[in-house]
Amino acid sequence: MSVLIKADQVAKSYGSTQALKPSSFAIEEGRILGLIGPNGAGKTTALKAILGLTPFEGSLEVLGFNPYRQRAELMKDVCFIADVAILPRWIKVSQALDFVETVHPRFHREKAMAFLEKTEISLNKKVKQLSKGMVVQLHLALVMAIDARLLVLDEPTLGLDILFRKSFYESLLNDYFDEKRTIIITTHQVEEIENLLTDLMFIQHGKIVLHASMEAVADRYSEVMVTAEMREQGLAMSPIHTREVFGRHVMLFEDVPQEKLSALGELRVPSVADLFVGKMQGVSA
Amino acid sequence: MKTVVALLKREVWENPAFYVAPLVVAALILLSGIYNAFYVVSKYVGYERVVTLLGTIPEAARPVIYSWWPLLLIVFNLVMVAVIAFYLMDSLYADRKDRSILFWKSLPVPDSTTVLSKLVTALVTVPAITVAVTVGSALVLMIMATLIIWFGGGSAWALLWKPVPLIDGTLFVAYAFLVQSLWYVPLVGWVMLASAWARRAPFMWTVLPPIGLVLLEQMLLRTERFAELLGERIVGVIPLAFQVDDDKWEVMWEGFQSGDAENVGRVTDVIDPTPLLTSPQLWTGFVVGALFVAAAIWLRRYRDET
Repeated sequence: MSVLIKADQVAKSYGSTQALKPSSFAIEEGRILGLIGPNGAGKTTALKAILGLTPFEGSLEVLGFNPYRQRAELMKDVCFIADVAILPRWIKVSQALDFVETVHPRFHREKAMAFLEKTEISLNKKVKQLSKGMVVQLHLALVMAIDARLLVLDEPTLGLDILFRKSFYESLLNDYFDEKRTIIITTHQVEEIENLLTDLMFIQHGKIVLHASMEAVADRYSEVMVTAEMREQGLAMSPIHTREVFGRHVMLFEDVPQEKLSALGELRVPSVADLFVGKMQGVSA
Repeated sequence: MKTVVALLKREVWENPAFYVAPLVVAALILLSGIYNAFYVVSKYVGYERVVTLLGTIPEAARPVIYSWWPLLLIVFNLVMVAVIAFYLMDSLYADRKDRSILFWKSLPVPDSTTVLSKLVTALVTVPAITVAVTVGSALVLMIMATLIIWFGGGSAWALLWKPVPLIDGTLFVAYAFLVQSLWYVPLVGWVMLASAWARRAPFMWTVLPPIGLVLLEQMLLRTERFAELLGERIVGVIPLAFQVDDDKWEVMWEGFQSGDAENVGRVTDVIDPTPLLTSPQLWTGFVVGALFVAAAIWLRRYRDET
């Protein structure tokens, strides 16, 4: 496994606010990383640094390039959809296809066409005539047809209905992803991508508070339903977060051996959403 | 190269005004031409009178018939300058405003290529379209004049097509747009820089700094050097690129009087690029324009505001 992104003390400030505190991490090839954090936590800043859209402190290498200095070269191997899909409103669907086909050496028109055929987008429409969901579909069609090594999706499915979101993630996994590609996704709909992810990164107040593979997460974190009478015992093992569900206590433990926990009740791997809430509230408490 | 062509095409896709504006003007000119030719002339003048009048012009002086070409040139040039000015003000601003710059930046196209494609659009693409529409309108007007001469029973060949040098006229129009493009390089660069710089109101950033500089100079130094410089930059190419010195007039006038068609000369005789190409103003203009464009590229590339 080769390392695709290598960050060493990467930081970014806007004026006096530090959007990203000095962070070091490495992302390997062939992973699907979920980048998750509250609004304003620094997710977009981190992605912008990786994509060469913003200057930063520290050292950052993406596919061996300095993204800020070598954006154009980097974009041959990297694709991204930033925030809400933003396509120029005046462009026709057919023109967008022609343009990307000409300037991008790794664009496969037939793939984009196959993707568009599943939608109701017609080629002679302009972007401004499409619905918001269709614009996203078009942007996804363009990006998915590019044979990139790194795909960055920042809230890719915002504004899409659930049917399309589901089919998008399915085709992302089945048709697009393979061990040669790497995907980074941020989204607020964590539940929808959690089965997709191989790695998880939580970011809060500009700091990376968790970066681990899903297997490691399953090993390190456990959730236990604790009955009222076992509550004291549970608390004694210092859960990082506790919530009440129908009079029972759901406790989240970090790095507590599972054989110790099983005495409290039934163990399970926490969902990403629960882990996220636990981590965020735990850290801030 | 493929990328450059795609970028140039993209500018035309985005800005149909490049051809719509001159075509609308052409349509208006032609409509008024039709009205004058087939209503005013037929009702108040009569086609035969027109043919008689044209026939009284000595053969040597008949090229005068197409003296309306420069008029067309001026009208289409004014339209074009307005179209280019508005295009440039938006050229590096509109996609930042609607954030579609994030889409363009997701493609493997260097920012310098993008900015230069917009420069080439302003200096080459739009003038080329305008030349085509100008010459096309002139040809349609020629066809209308042909009809008038035919209705009046004259020979359109002798009265119109033979004396009017179409190729020379086309060359003249193309030359006029070409030298203007060269002369306007620093102005184009300035507007691009204002467009790349503005976080809002690129029009203000285009217009206010030069006006401010003129006023400042007037207040502090009580001179008007910068205003003169601007004025020269706007119209100063004409005396440099076209030679209408007294000697030439003399020869033409003599030819006209003696009825000697050879001596009347050709419209292309006034074309002389040497004074322009050897003028320091042209070359300092290039340097200043290059600096402005380089600054625009730098802003486009390194400024983060998304």
